[in-house]
Amino acid sequence: MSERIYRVLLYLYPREFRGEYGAAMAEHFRRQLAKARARRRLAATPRFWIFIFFDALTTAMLERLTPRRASGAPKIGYHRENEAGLMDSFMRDLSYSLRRLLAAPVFSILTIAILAFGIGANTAIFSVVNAFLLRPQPFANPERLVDIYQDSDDGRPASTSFPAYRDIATHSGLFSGVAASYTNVVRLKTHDANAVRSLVEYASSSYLPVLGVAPTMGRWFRTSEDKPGEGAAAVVSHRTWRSKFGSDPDILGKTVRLNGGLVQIVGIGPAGFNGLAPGVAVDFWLSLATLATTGRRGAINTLDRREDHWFMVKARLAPGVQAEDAQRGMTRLAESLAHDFPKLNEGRGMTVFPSGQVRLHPMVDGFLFPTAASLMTVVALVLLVACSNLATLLLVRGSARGKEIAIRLAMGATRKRLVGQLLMESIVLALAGGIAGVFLARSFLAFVLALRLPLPVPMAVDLSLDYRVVGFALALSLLTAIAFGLAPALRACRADPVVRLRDETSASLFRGRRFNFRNLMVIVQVSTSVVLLVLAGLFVTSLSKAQRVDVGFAVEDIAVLMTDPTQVGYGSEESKAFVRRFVQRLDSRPDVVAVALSNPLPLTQARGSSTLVLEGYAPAVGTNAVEVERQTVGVNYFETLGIPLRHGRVFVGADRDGARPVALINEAMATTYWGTADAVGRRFRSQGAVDSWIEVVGVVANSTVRELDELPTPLFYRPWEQNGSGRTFVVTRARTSPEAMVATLRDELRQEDSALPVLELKTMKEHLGAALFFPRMGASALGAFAALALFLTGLGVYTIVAFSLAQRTLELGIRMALGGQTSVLVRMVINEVVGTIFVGLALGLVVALVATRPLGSLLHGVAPTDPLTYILVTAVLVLAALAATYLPARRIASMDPVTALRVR
Amino acid sequence: MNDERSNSTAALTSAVFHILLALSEGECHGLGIAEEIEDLTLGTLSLGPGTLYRSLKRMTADGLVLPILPTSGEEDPRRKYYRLTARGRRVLEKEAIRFERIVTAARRKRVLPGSAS
Repeated sequence: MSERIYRVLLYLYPREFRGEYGAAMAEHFRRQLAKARARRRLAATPRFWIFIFFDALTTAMLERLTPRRASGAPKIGYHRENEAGLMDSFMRDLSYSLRRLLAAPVFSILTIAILAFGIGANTAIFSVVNAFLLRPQPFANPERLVDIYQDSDDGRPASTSFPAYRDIATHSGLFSGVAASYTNVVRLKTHDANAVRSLVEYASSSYLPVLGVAPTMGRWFRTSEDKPGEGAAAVVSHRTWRSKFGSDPDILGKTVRLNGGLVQIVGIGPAGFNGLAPGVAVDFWLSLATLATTGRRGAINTLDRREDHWFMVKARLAPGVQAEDAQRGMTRLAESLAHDFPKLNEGRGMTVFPSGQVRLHPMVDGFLFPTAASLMTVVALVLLVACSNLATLLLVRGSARGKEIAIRLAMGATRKRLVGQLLMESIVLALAGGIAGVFLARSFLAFVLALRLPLPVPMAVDLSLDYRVVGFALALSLLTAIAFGLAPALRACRADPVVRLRDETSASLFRGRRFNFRNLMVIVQVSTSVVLLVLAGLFVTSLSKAQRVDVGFAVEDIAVLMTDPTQVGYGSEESKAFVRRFVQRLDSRPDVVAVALSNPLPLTQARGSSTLVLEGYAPAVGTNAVEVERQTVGVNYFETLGIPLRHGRVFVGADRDGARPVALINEAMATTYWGTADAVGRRFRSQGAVDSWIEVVGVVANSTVRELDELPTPLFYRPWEQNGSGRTFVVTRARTSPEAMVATLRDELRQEDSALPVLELKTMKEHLGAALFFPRMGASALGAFAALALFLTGLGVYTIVAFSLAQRTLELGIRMALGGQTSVLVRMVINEVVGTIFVGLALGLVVALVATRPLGSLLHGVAPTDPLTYILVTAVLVLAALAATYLPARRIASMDPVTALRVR
Repeated sequence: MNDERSNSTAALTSAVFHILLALSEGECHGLGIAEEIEDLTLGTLSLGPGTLYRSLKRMTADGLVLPILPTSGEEDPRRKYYRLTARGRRVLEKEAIRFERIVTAARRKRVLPGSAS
């Protein structure tokens, strides 16, 4: 790999040089690399690479600057310019660059700002990628750790049941330790009686020992705490201890209330360890015994249930055992489990992955990496535009300084020094831009994380600047410095000083070839902007389509609150009675139009479904048992949310416990399974409950079930009085504003019983907004990137037109003074630029057509080839480019000939 | 004119001087030169591949060194060997003398220990 990088570097040298010395240089490189690696010195390899890059860049540049025609007197170029050392000339270059940059503050600030945006965008995305995919966990000998997964029902590695974990742990000789953990979100009760979502890992006592890390303070769980009935112990994570408990030194022994259960903090977790899943941070580790008090009712039973697969299993290989041996052992175990428990484990395999090969979960990783790669690609495109933009700026600046450079060359300055100085300028700029970019990225990410993200678990992207992020930003800065600085520097110095001094009006840099450097830069900027604009256009269109989707239920004026009386000790019946009282209380308020109950809300991803047997439904193949989405609703639900009834009746007060079990279904369910919209009177039952048939008493219109762009989804409703449980959403239609109703709901609940947790509280609009969160984020980010690219492209075109015209000011002045038409010249310049812009535009459109093709599934209601988007993008770009061309042209054309002549 | 310049007191770059020095005892290939230099300078000077071969190229063009075919029993016939030309040796001697003078001066001024006669 290293040698391949070096071979790429060799392409910096002129072909003949590479041909003659390339092989020997590669051999030399190999030998030196081996030596550097063998050296016991801090960061020997990075130092070596810096040395090699410096060596290759400087000598390649010098070699290219050496006049080809080596006839005549050979120059003795290796004589030093003077007696000063290398460091001295470096410092002189640096201070010269700084002085020059300070002398042109507008140029410097503009450049640094452009770079800050380009590098900032890249660093921000890279920080996230780093937190999720790259940053290693602080485990001892991580290469000896493996993850073990039982298959899901469809045969893919998923998660493991606790009894199976026990079987693995007792499996002879393969592992020196096996740990199980189960991640969940609980409510942490704070002192002001609010509930804060906290991420916990229920962990076996073997967990930290297997990972090979130790708590910062206090202790980890004891073996006895793996069994129900033992003390409820918790270990607070180092991060949470610092952020939420203010680094309280007396925290050990204190208790916290999680989901209503009291747990005692016995330790503080290892510093820098936030649980097994990267990108999210665990607040507490809980002993398995606490499942009884902090888990859902009956959760503790999972420790004996082979049908539950809740746990992730990590094991440390015993000395001498390889992952393949472990896999063979687990396959045998899976077979014996299939034999012992055929109903549950027939055909269910077990898979062993070395932990180093898994980031989040084997089934998710495959999606994670392409996502990261496409994000990085988008920001890399922005950086590409920024770089080519700066290349034009510097080129123009270099040309403007052409005379200075020519004089210095004529006075005997070496090209090496001049290139060094020009390159030093871009490096200083790029580093300043890089530093600004890192700060920009950090404040941007801090801002995003401070938003209330509608995610099921609290995100905790660790933004601490580790050496990877800093190295990335630094490498990017240097790379951009070279990318945008080298070509202009070389060009500025290559020109023959005599020609340059003689012909002041020469625009020789830009004449001649049709596809010269300047045109190339314009094409790069225009085409990349087009691709980004098309992407942004598609996602914005998709978002606006999704926002206008008819969800099938009322959104305006609706406010919801979710609570669960069973969490604070209410029994099932008491809980129902409480909710009934609360509904009555709200109903009596004048500002409440209607109240209803529901669980869950419509448009909810994580929801329950039931396996139903439908009477009179006989599919062509398979069984008549089907999986159907389920929702429990109170009497007023359909009126409150404005969902129209199509046939039969809605629920009434008489549909209570003890009465005939009834259900409403939506049209999708009626037509899908019974082939008729009017399915009133049909019956179905749960697959497990043979004799309890449920009768359909009404059919209602379809509404959104899980997500905005779903097809009509079969759904059945059961009356809350017959089927309700603890968790309940109270849905109100407000006479005034739903925002005010949100506060009212909280107050009314407090007054009814202040102990009750407010688990969710929002307007229906916010609920909808949460469903659109990711599309909105994506569209905003792409929109911002595209706008930045468009702005930079406009700036680039402006610079070039202004420069081309300025180069010809004298010519224009003479023409004007002679009474000639200036428009001819202006038009000539414009024509050339416009031609280049169209080449870039065409190229960009073609690339966009190809590149957006795989995105179809991410877009809602808009095809990747949407002609309107392409037309709009073309129009926007042409307008921006024309404006950027017109402004400098007008200035020149309206110039007084005398001024024009005096310029020179 | 060239002789005039190379005979002048202008300092050689450190890379050129050391390459000349490394070749003073006989012919050698590029990698050997680099290793000889590291030995000579106790590892304080390490020439990157670019610096080494670019210097060799320029020195060849200036007639200080001569690329030759290996004489005997060479392990890798593709390797290019270099040896000093008479001119190269002259330049090296001149530079060494110059250094000697500097060192003597430094001793006299007690910058370095040694005879201060």
